[in-house]
Amino acid sequence: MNLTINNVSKNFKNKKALNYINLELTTGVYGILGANGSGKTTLMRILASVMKPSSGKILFNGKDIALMDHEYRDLIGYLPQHVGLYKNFTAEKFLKYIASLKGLSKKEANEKVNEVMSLVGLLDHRKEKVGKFSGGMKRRVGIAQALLNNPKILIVDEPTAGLDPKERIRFRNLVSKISADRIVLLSTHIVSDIEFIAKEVLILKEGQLIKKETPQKLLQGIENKVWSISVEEKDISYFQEHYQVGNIMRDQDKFELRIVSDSKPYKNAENVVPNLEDLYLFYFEEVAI
Amino acid sequence: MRNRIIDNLADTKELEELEKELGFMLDEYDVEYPSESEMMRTINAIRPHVPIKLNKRKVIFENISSIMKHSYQEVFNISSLFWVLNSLFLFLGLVAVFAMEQSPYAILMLFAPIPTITGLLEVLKSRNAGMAELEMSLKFSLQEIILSKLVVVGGFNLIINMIFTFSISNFYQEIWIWKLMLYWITPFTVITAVSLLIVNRIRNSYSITAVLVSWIGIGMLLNQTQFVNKIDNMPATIFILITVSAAGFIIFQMKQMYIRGLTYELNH
Repeated sequence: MNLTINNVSKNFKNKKALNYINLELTTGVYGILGANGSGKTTLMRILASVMKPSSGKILFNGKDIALMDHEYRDLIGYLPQHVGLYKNFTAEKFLKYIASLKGLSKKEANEKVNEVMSLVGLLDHRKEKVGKFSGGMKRRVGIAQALLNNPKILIVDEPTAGLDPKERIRFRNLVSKISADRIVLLSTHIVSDIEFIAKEVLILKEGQLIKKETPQKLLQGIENKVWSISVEEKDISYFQEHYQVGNIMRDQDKFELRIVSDSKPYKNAENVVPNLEDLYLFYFEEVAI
Repeated sequence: MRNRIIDNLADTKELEELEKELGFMLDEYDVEYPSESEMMRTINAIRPHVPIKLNKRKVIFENISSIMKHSYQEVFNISSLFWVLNSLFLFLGLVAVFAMEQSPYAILMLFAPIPTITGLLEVLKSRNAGMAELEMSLKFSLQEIILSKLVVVGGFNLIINMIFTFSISNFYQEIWIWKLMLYWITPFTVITAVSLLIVNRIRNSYSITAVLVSWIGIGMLLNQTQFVNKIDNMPATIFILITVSAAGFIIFQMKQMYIRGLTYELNH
């Protein structure tokens, strides 16, 4: 099973949101990392067939998805970044409604709704109205609807935005659990979401795909560029002005700074093992969440 | 039978000529001409990739039956407020005719398209609830969902108008049923056409309020004797012409919506 993105571009009036993206995706979790406005959501929308590319093609197992039409939509599960849900529907009614729009028979829908609600831990809340759910529960309903048709391609856009840490961990574990035998695309600007579950990380910057590597290889690329230094409080602003500073941690009366820099920023600086947050800082020159 | 044989012979002759022509073109290259079995193997290998000719009539029938089937499911998802409100309108209309002795023609003309106008809120619910993007990605597409809802709303409107028509014609023997039907079918088709235009182009719930207010404004005019007389004097052919044009526009809009589809760009 493969999904091929062939020279895909998307223009909005004068802005080029995506610029000749070429990708080959096979089963596994892919994390799409990028700052706001990098083109993540546009790419996700095109892959979910919600938006048409200005040029280029997307092929699923060699077939053009534009020609596959509903046959392709039958293969995908999509959770947009902003989804309202029908607030007056109970979680069960909402999922049954979506199941019918996904072409599931009544019997299949009943079984599948139970299965996905149990998977996302909402079985006890099935009769409650979606409008009364917390943000985390709504996201879980969103994930549940995406899984109803047992999709071969799961596309989730910024799934953990606005979730508390506990919900984020729960979501990560859930994605891990469901990722076998499907292509999972997860866009985020929260690096910890994908650090341990992504097979490969795609880095998008200003509409261009600048990297597609395993997290390990990406980290190898910045191996000698992450430093840790211990400084006085008064010196912090100097380093912030001249270097890309990530974490700042208080260590008794001093502060420990994590800096991403090609050269050693200070004589006492020590090289440290990089993580994806450092990688984000390296590519986007802004602090990761 | 004879014609088919002649056609086959003509095809064979054409193929032979093509083969000769291709063979001639290959002469200038040092390439071994493929054997019959190799050619057949190539053709069979390519066959799965050749698009199958669609039976248009079958496709149209399948699409319509799928929309009808889904319309049935939509009945249970439409807000109860829609049913209650429009039943209330029906009741008010009947009260106006029977208790307040208003002209049944004018009242029916005024109430005829109201369920469709109010139903637009249900039709555009996907967008208002922030569900449109998600629904665009589903097997049953957003345009099919919208058309299904329109079928429910339009169908309910038709039923309400029929109930109104037959209730009045049963109690008022002097009522001319065909005229009564003409008086509601015309505004109903015109407003349905306008509604489709809103769904297809404007997609804004404020436009629904604007249509409702405009229609009530027209209703005030309808109640003036002068205006009623003018409508009464209009020949039936004009009503029919307006209805047929609006119906044609409805079919065109529905076809356009179905074929073109609804994408994110069109909805935002």
